[in-house]
Amino acid sequence: MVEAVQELGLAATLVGVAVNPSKVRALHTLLGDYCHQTRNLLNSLKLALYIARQGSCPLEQSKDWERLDSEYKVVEKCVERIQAICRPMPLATINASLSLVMREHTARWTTWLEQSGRQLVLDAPKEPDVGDLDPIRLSGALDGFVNWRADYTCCDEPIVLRWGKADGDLYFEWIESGSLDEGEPEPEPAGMKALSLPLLARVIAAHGGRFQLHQDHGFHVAASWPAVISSRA
Amino acid sequence: MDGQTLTPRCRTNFGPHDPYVLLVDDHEPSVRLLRELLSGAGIACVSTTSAASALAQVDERRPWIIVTDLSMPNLDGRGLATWIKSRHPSLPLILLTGELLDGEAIEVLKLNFTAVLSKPLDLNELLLHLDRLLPAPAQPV
Repeated sequence: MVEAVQELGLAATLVGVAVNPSKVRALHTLLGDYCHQTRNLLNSLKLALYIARQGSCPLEQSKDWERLDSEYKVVEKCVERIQAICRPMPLATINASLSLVMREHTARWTTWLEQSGRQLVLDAPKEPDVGDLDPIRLSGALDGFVNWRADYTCCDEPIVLRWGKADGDLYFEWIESGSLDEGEPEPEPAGMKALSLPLLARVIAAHGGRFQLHQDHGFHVAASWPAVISSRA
Repeated sequence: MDGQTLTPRCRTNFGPHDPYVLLVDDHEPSVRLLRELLSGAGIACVSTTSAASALAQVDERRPWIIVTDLSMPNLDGRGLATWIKSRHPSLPLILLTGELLDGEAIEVLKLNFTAVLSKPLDLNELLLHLDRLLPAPAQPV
Protein backbone atom coordinates (compact mmCIF):
# COMPACT_ATOMS: atom_id res chain seq x y z
CA MET A 1 0.00 0.00 0.00
CA VAL A 2 2.81 2.39 0.92
CA GLU A 3 4.47 1.67 -2.41
CA ALA A 4 1.24 2.37 -4.28
CA VAL A 5 0.80 5.71 -2.51
CA GLN A 6 4.43 6.63 -3.28
CA GLU A 7 3.90 5.74 -6.93
CA LEU A 8 0.79 7.88 -7.04
CA GLY A 9 2.67 10.74 -5.39
CA LEU A 10 5.47 10.54 -7.94
CA ALA A 11 2.99 10.26 -10.81
CA ALA A 12 1.01 13.27 -9.61
CA THR A 13 4.21 15.31 -9.30
CA LEU A 14 5.29 14.31 -12.78
CA VAL A 15 1.96 15.55 -14.14
CA GLY A 16 3.18 19.06 -13.27
CA VAL A 17 6.30 18.43 -15.34
CA ALA A 18 4.56 16.71 -18.23
CA VAL A 19 2.25 19.64 -18.99
CA ASN A 20 5.11 22.16 -19.10
CA PRO A 21 7.14 22.02 -22.36
CA SER A 22 10.26 23.65 -20.88
CA LYS A 23 10.26 21.22 -17.96
CA VAL A 24 9.76 18.30 -20.34
CA ARG A 25 12.79 19.40 -22.36
CA ALA A 26 14.88 19.69 -19.19
CA LEU A 27 13.69 16.29 -18.00
CA HIS A 28 14.46 14.81 -21.39
CA THR A 29 18.03 16.11 -21.17
CA LEU A 30 18.47 15.02 -17.56
CA LEU A 31 16.95 11.59 -18.00
CA GLY A 32 18.36 10.86 -21.44
CA ASP A 33 21.79 9.83 -20.23
CA TYR A 34 20.41 8.16 -17.12
CA CYS A 35 17.95 6.04 -19.10
CA HIS A 36 20.65 5.12 -21.61
CA GLN A 37 22.87 3.83 -18.82
CA THR A 38 19.95 2.05 -17.18
CA ARG A 39 19.06 0.32 -20.43
CA ASN A 40 22.66 -0.79 -20.86
CA LEU A 41 22.64 -2.23 -17.35
CA LEU A 42 19.32 -3.93 -17.98
CA ASN A 43 20.64 -5.26 -21.25
CA SER A 44 23.64 -6.87 -19.61
CA LEU A 45 21.40 -8.21 -16.83
CA LYS A 46 19.07 -9.76 -19.38
CA LEU A 47 21.95 -11.31 -21.33
CA ALA A 48 23.40 -12.66 -18.08
CA LEU A 49 20.01 -14.20 -17.28
CA TYR A 50 19.98 -15.89 -20.69
CA ILE A 51 23.40 -17.38 -19.97
CA ALA A 52 22.50 -18.43 -16.43
CA ARG A 53 19.28 -20.00 -17.65
CA GLN A 54 21.08 -22.00 -20.30
CA GLY A 55 23.47 -23.34 -17.66
CA SER A 56 20.88 -24.24 -15.03
CA CYS A 57 19.18 -27.60 -14.54
CA PRO A 58 15.52 -28.00 -15.58
CA LEU A 59 14.21 -28.09 -12.00
CA GLU A 60 15.74 -24.73 -11.21
CA GLN A 61 14.27 -23.24 -14.33
CA SER A 62 10.62 -23.34 -13.36
CA LYS A 63 9.28 -20.89 -10.78
CA ASP A 64 12.48 -19.04 -9.95
CA TRP A 65 13.11 -18.20 -13.57
CA GLU A 66 9.55 -17.13 -14.11
CA ARG A 67 9.84 -14.82 -11.12
CA LEU A 68 13.19 -13.40 -12.25
CA ASP A 69 11.86 -12.90 -15.74
CA SER A 70 8.74 -11.20 -14.42
CA GLU A 71 10.68 -8.90 -12.10
CA TYR A 72 13.13 -8.07 -14.81
CA LYS A 73 10.32 -7.08 -17.17
CA VAL A 74 8.84 -4.79 -14.50
CA VAL A 75 12.09 -2.80 -14.36
CA GLU A 76 12.31 -2.70 -18.15
CA LYS A 77 8.73 -1.42 -18.36
CA CYS A 78 9.44 1.20 -15.72
CA VAL A 79 12.35 2.65 -17.72
CA GLU A 80 10.26 2.55 -20.88
CA ARG A 81 7.47 4.53 -19.19
CA ILE A 82 9.88 7.15 -17.82
CA GLN A 83 11.40 7.59 -21.27
CA ALA A 84 7.99 7.81 -22.92
CA ILE A 85 6.99 10.76 -20.74
CA CYS A 86 9.90 12.99 -21.68
CA ARG A 87 10.68 11.98 -25.25
CA PRO A 88 9.68 14.27 -28.13
CA MET A 89 6.04 13.69 -29.00
CA PRO A 90 5.10 14.74 -32.54
CA LEU A 91 1.39 14.25 -33.16
CA ALA A 92 -0.31 12.68 -36.15
CA THR A 93 -3.69 14.33 -35.77
CA ILE A 94 -6.85 13.60 -37.67
CA ASN A 95 -10.22 15.30 -37.52
CA ALA A 96 -12.44 12.66 -35.98
CA SER A 97 -15.16 11.99 -33.47
CA LEU A 98 -13.83 11.59 -29.95
CA SER A 99 -16.73 9.21 -29.30
CA LEU A 100 -15.53 7.02 -32.14
CA VAL A 101 -12.08 6.77 -30.56
CA MET A 102 -13.53 6.13 -27.11
CA ARG A 103 -16.00 3.50 -28.31
CA GLU A 104 -13.17 1.49 -29.81
CA HIS A 105 -11.83 0.88 -26.30
CA THR A 106 -14.59 1.23 -23.74
CA ALA A 107 -15.64 -2.42 -23.87
CA ARG A 108 -12.12 -3.50 -22.91
CA TRP A 109 -11.85 -0.84 -20.20
CA THR A 110 -15.17 -1.93 -18.76
CA THR A 111 -13.94 -5.52 -18.62
CA TRP A 112 -10.70 -4.53 -16.88
CA LEU A 113 -12.58 -2.62 -14.21
CA GLU A 114 -15.17 -5.35 -13.76
CA GLN A 115 -12.35 -7.76 -13.04
CA SER A 116 -11.46 -5.52 -10.10
CA GLY A 117 -15.07 -5.42 -9.01
CA ARG A 118 -15.59 -1.90 -10.29
CA GLN A 119 -18.18 -0.47 -12.61
CA LEU A 120 -17.53 1.99 -15.42
CA VAL A 121 -20.35 4.33 -16.35
CA LEU A 122 -19.96 5.91 -19.77
CA ASP A 123 -21.34 9.42 -20.14
CA ALA A 124 -21.16 9.97 -23.90
CA PRO A 125 -22.31 13.22 -25.54
CA LYS A 126 -25.51 13.46 -27.53
CA GLU A 127 -24.04 16.22 -29.69
CA PRO A 128 -21.30 15.66 -32.30
CA ASP A 129 -17.80 15.72 -30.81
CA VAL A 130 -15.62 15.97 -33.88
CA GLY A 131 -12.23 17.63 -33.51
CA ASP A 132 -8.48 17.28 -33.96
CA LEU A 133 -6.79 14.46 -32.09
CA ASP A 134 -4.04 11.91 -32.42
CA PRO A 135 -6.06 8.70 -32.05
CA ILE A 136 -3.06 6.45 -31.54
CA ARG A 137 -1.39 8.51 -28.81
CA LEU A 138 -4.65 9.41 -27.12
CA SER A 139 -6.10 5.92 -27.00
CA GLY A 140 -2.73 4.40 -26.08
CA ALA A 141 -2.31 6.79 -23.15
CA LEU A 142 -5.90 6.25 -22.01
CA ASP A 143 -5.40 2.51 -22.28
CA GLY A 144 -2.44 2.64 -19.90
CA PHE A 145 -4.27 4.98 -17.57
CA VAL A 146 -7.40 2.81 -17.29
CA ASN A 147 -5.29 -0.31 -16.93
CA TRP A 148 -3.58 1.33 -13.96
CA ARG A 149 -6.84 2.46 -12.36
CA ALA A 150 -8.21 -1.06 -12.75
CA ASP A 151 -5.54 -2.23 -10.30
CA TYR A 152 -7.40 -0.56 -7.46
CA THR A 153 -10.43 -2.06 -5.83
CA CYS A 154 -10.85 0.84 -3.48
CA CYS A 155 -14.54 1.62 -3.49
CA ASP A 156 -17.98 0.50 -4.49
CA GLU A 157 -18.89 3.71 -6.27
CA PRO A 158 -18.99 3.44 -10.05
CA ILE A 159 -16.38 5.29 -12.06
CA VAL A 160 -17.71 7.85 -14.52
CA LEU A 161 -15.98 8.47 -17.84
CA ARG A 162 -17.47 11.53 -19.48
CA TRP A 163 -16.40 13.10 -22.75
CA GLY A 164 -17.64 15.50 -25.37
CA LYS A 165 -17.13 18.86 -27.00
CA ALA A 166 -17.82 22.22 -25.36
CA ASP A 167 -16.77 25.80 -26.08
CA GLY A 168 -14.57 24.74 -28.97
CA ASP A 169 -12.69 22.17 -26.90
CA LEU A 170 -12.77 18.40 -26.81
CA TYR A 171 -12.69 17.06 -23.28
CA PHE A 172 -12.91 14.00 -21.10
CA GLU A 173 -13.29 13.48 -17.38
CA TRP A 174 -12.51 10.49 -15.23
CA ILE A 175 -14.35 10.61 -11.93
CA GLU A 176 -13.70 8.17 -9.10
CA SER A 177 -15.30 8.65 -5.74
CA GLY A 178 -13.82 7.19 -2.57
CA SER A 179 -10.33 7.19 -1.18
CA LEU A 180 -7.29 5.27 -2.37
CA ASP A 181 -6.54 4.50 1.29
CA GLU A 182 -9.58 2.28 1.48
CA GLY A 183 -8.36 -0.11 -1.14
CA GLU A 184 -5.58 -2.52 -1.78
CA PRO A 185 -2.98 -2.43 -4.51
CA GLU A 186 -2.57 -5.31 -6.90
CA PRO A 187 -0.46 -8.17 -5.49
CA GLU A 188 1.95 -8.27 -8.45
CA PRO A 189 4.62 -5.61 -9.00
CA ALA A 190 3.07 -2.87 -11.07
CA GLY A 191 6.21 -1.57 -12.77
CA MET A 192 5.20 1.96 -12.01
CA LYS A 193 1.93 1.73 -13.88
CA ALA A 194 1.12 5.02 -12.16
CA LEU A 195 3.44 6.69 -14.68
CA SER A 196 0.62 6.27 -17.17
CA LEU A 197 -0.89 9.33 -15.47
CA PRO A 198 1.88 11.82 -16.41
CA LEU A 199 2.11 10.13 -19.81
CA LEU A 200 -1.57 10.90 -20.38
CA ALA A 201 -0.93 14.47 -19.22
CA ARG A 202 1.94 14.70 -21.67
CA VAL A 203 -0.26 13.54 -24.54
CA ILE A 204 -2.89 16.14 -23.67
CA ALA A 205 -0.20 18.85 -23.40
CA ALA A 206 1.09 17.82 -26.83
CA HIS A 207 -2.45 18.50 -28.10
CA GLY A 208 -2.11 22.03 -26.69
CA GLY A 209 -4.57 21.19 -23.95
CA ARG A 210 -5.07 21.39 -20.20
CA PHE A 211 -4.83 18.53 -17.73
CA GLN A 212 -6.04 18.70 -14.16
CA LEU A 213 -5.81 16.15 -11.38
CA HIS A 214 -7.86 16.42 -8.19
CA GLN A 215 -7.46 13.97 -5.35
CA ASP A 216 -9.29 15.84 -2.58
CA HIS A 217 -12.44 13.74 -2.83
CA GLY A 218 -11.63 10.61 -4.73
CA PHE A 219 -9.65 10.69 -7.94
CA HIS A 220 -10.70 13.10 -10.66
CA VAL A 221 -8.94 13.81 -13.95
CA ALA A 222 -10.16 16.53 -16.30
CA ALA A 223 -8.53 17.00 -19.70
CA SER A 224 -9.41 19.26 -22.60
CA TRP A 225 -7.77 20.51 -25.79
CA PRO A 226 -8.72 22.72 -28.72
CA ALA A 227 -10.94 21.01 -31.28
CA VAL A 228 -8.83 22.81 -33.88
CA ILE A 229 -5.15 22.33 -33.08
CA SER A 230 -2.84 24.99 -34.48
CA SER A 231 0.38 23.84 -36.09
CA ARG A 232 2.36 25.30 -33.18
CA ALA A 233 0.51 23.23 -30.57
CA MET B 1 12.97 -14.41 -22.18
CA ASP B 2 10.65 -17.06 -23.43
CA GLY B 3 11.67 -19.83 -25.76
CA GLN B 4 15.34 -20.60 -25.63
CA THR B 5 15.43 -21.93 -29.18
CA LEU B 6 18.88 -21.08 -30.41
CA THR B 7 20.08 -21.68 -33.91
CA PRO B 8 21.17 -25.21 -34.79
CA ARG B 9 24.74 -24.06 -35.48
CA CYS B 10 26.65 -26.39 -33.20
CA ARG B 11 30.24 -25.35 -33.80
CA THR B 12 32.19 -23.62 -31.07
CA ASN B 13 35.66 -23.83 -32.66
CA PHE B 14 36.10 -21.26 -35.39
CA GLY B 15 38.81 -20.92 -37.99
CA PRO B 16 40.45 -17.66 -39.10
CA HIS B 17 38.51 -17.68 -42.37
CA ASP B 18 35.07 -18.49 -40.98
CA PRO B 19 32.40 -15.85 -41.51
CA TYR B 20 32.01 -13.91 -38.31
CA VAL B 21 29.81 -11.30 -36.70
CA LEU B 22 31.41 -8.08 -35.48
CA LEU B 23 29.81 -6.79 -32.26
CA VAL B 24 30.27 -3.12 -31.37
CA ASP B 25 29.11 -1.61 -28.09
CA ASP B 26 30.82 0.79 -25.70
CA HIS B 27 29.11 -0.97 -22.77
CA GLU B 28 31.68 -3.69 -22.18
CA PRO B 29 29.52 -6.11 -20.11
CA SER B 30 26.81 -6.07 -22.78
CA VAL B 31 29.14 -6.78 -25.67
CA ARG B 32 31.03 -9.44 -23.72
CA LEU B 33 27.86 -11.29 -22.69
CA LEU B 34 26.42 -11.05 -26.18
CA ARG B 35 29.63 -12.50 -27.64
CA GLU B 36 29.42 -15.35 -25.14
CA LEU B 37 25.79 -16.06 -26.00
CA LEU B 38 26.31 -15.95 -29.75
CA SER B 39 29.44 -18.09 -29.53
CA GLY B 40 27.45 -20.59 -27.49
CA ALA B 41 24.88 -20.60 -30.28
CA GLY B 42 27.59 -21.53 -32.76
CA ILE B 43 28.17 -18.09 -34.28
CA ALA B 44 31.74 -16.83 -34.62
CA CYS B 45 32.06 -13.36 -33.11
CA VAL B 46 34.58 -10.61 -32.61
CA SER B 47 33.70 -7.80 -30.24
CA THR B 48 34.93 -4.24 -29.87
CA THR B 49 33.95 -1.38 -27.58
CA SER B 50 34.30 1.51 -30.02
CA ALA B 51 33.40 2.33 -33.59
CA ALA B 52 37.03 3.26 -34.28
CA SER B 53 38.29 -0.17 -33.31
CA ALA B 54 35.44 -1.70 -35.30
CA LEU B 55 36.67 0.11 -38.41
CA ALA B 56 40.17 -1.24 -37.81
CA GLN B 57 38.74 -4.74 -37.44
CA VAL B 58 36.81 -4.40 -40.71
CA ASP B 59 40.01 -3.33 -42.46
CA GLU B 60 41.80 -6.35 -41.05
CA ARG B 61 39.12 -8.87 -42.02
CA ARG B 62 35.68 -8.13 -43.39
CA PRO B 63 32.91 -9.46 -41.10
CA TRP B 64 29.79 -11.11 -42.46
CA ILE B 65 27.51 -8.92 -40.34
CA ILE B 66 28.01 -5.99 -37.99
CA VAL B 67 25.83 -5.63 -34.88
CA THR B 68 26.34 -2.19 -33.37
CA ASP B 69 25.04 -0.03 -30.58
CA LEU B 70 23.63 3.36 -31.57
CA SER B 71 24.84 5.69 -28.82
CA MET B 72 28.61 5.58 -28.46
CA PRO B 73 31.13 8.33 -27.74
CA ASN B 74 32.94 9.94 -30.68
CA LEU B 75 31.73 7.92 -33.68
CA ASP B 76 28.25 6.55 -33.00
CA GLY B 77 26.31 3.74 -34.71
CA ARG B 78 24.98 6.05 -37.42
CA GLY B 79 28.47 7.32 -38.24
CA LEU B 80 29.84 3.80 -38.28
CA ALA B 81 27.09 2.73 -40.68
CA THR B 82 27.77 5.65 -43.02
CA TRP B 83 31.46 4.77 -43.12
CA ILE B 84 30.82 1.06 -43.63
CA LYS B 85 28.22 1.60 -46.38
CA SER B 86 30.60 3.86 -48.32
CA ARG B 87 33.19 1.07 -48.49
CA HIS B 88 31.19 -2.14 -48.13
CA PRO B 89 27.67 -1.38 -49.44
CA SER B 90 26.49 -4.99 -49.16
CA LEU B 91 27.66 -5.56 -45.59
CA PRO B 92 24.55 -5.95 -43.39
CA LEU B 93 24.36 -3.89 -40.21
CA ILE B 94 22.03 -4.52 -37.30
CA LEU B 95 21.42 -1.67 -34.89
CA LEU B 96 20.83 -2.05 -31.14
CA THR B 97 19.50 0.96 -29.32
CA GLY B 98 18.31 1.91 -25.86
CA GLU B 99 16.52 4.96 -27.22
CA LEU B 100 12.78 4.96 -27.72
CA LEU B 101 12.45 5.66 -31.43
CA ASP B 102 9.23 6.52 -33.23
CA GLY B 103 8.28 4.97 -36.55
CA GLU B 104 9.72 7.80 -38.63
CA ALA B 105 13.13 7.63 -36.93
CA ILE B 106 13.21 3.85 -37.39
CA GLU B 107 12.40 4.20 -41.10
CA VAL B 108 15.32 6.64 -41.52
CA LEU B 109 17.67 4.25 -39.70
CA LYS B 110 16.54 1.36 -41.89
CA LEU B 111 18.11 3.11 -44.87
CA ASN B 112 21.46 1.98 -43.49
CA PHE B 113 20.50 -0.83 -41.12
CA THR B 114 19.00 -4.20 -41.99
CA ALA B 115 17.24 -4.33 -38.63
CA VAL B 116 16.75 -2.00 -35.67
CA LEU B 117 16.41 -3.80 -32.32
CA SER B 118 15.77 -2.24 -28.94
CA LYS B 119 17.73 -2.73 -25.74
CA PRO B 120 17.29 -4.69 -23.55
CA LEU B 121 17.76 -7.14 -26.34
CA ASP B 122 15.43 -9.97 -27.26
CA LEU B 123 18.06 -12.60 -28.01
CA ASN B 124 15.79 -14.77 -30.11
CA GLU B 125 14.88 -11.83 -32.33
CA LEU B 126 18.57 -11.13 -32.93
CA LEU B 127 19.25 -14.82 -33.61
CA LEU B 128 16.49 -14.91 -36.19
CA HIS B 129 18.07 -12.00 -38.06
CA LEU B 130 21.56 -13.49 -37.83
CA ASP B 131 20.35 -16.88 -38.96
CA ARG B 132 18.76 -15.29 -42.01
CA LEU B 133 21.85 -13.29 -42.89
CA LEU B 134 24.62 -15.78 -42.16
CA PRO B 135 25.58 -18.44 -44.71
CA ALA B 136 24.06 -21.87 -44.09
CA PRO B 137 26.25 -24.09 -41.89
CA ALA B 138 28.43 -26.49 -43.91
CA GLN B 139 26.94 -29.97 -44.13
CA PRO B 140 29.06 -32.78 -42.70
CA VAL B 141 30.68 -34.94 -45.39
